[in-house]
Amino acid sequence: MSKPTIRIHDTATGEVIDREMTDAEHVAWQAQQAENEALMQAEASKQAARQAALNKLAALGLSADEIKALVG
Amino acid sequence: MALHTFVAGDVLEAQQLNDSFAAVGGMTLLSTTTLTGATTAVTNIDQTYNTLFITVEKWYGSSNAYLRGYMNADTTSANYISQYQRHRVGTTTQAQEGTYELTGWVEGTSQQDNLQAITIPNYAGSSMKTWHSYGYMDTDNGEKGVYYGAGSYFSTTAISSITFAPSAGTFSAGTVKIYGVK
Repeated sequence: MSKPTIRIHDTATGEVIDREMTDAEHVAWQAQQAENEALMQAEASKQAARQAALNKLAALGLSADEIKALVG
Repeated sequence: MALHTFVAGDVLEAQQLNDSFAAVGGMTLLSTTTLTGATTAVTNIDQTYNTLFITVEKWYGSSNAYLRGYMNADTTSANYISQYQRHRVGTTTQAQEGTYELTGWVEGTSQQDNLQAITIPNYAGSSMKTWHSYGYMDTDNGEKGVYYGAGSYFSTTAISSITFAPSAGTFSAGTVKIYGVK
């Protein structure tokens, strides 16, 4: 499987190089992708927990305006 | 800068105006680069300006993603901090902490309108680097929103290159323009 490409634009010369990642670059990129996936999942979990809390407040009988006044 | 009083017969040429403007606070377009691949690096950035003003337009990628910026090819997340708020129509404002996100996000993998504007003052100086940014998104899946963000790069080394990268996947499109501000 081919590795992703990268672009390098040298503004001093105007030269634009498109090339495949080196092995080292590919390993680093894969690590960053995994790190991002973990962050995205954490953010999704946080949003899901927030929505669950809002639903519980609504189930207690609070109106949408009251919930907004309480939690923004 | 000395003021010039015009008298009859004086002619102000466009180039003189451009030179004068650029010398006292004007912006000069340093580069225009199409975003592609996993990363797009803009290197050898002119070091003779006070501030970099960067616009990123109509970018999207193969995945939902934030826009990252690695200064001087430094991908060590511990060397950065970023914070941002985003507000999408019909939702509450979200606040988030990150690292090298220049802020801005895309959701959807086809053509969409968006704009981020990023300012990095003192980029060529010897103090720690900070940036702030703001932008608007109108994505192909109906997500519309605005954001504001800021961050720091914990380095006193002058910034001579910025590597743009989506936090996930690869670039499908987008244009980054870098301006130098006197």
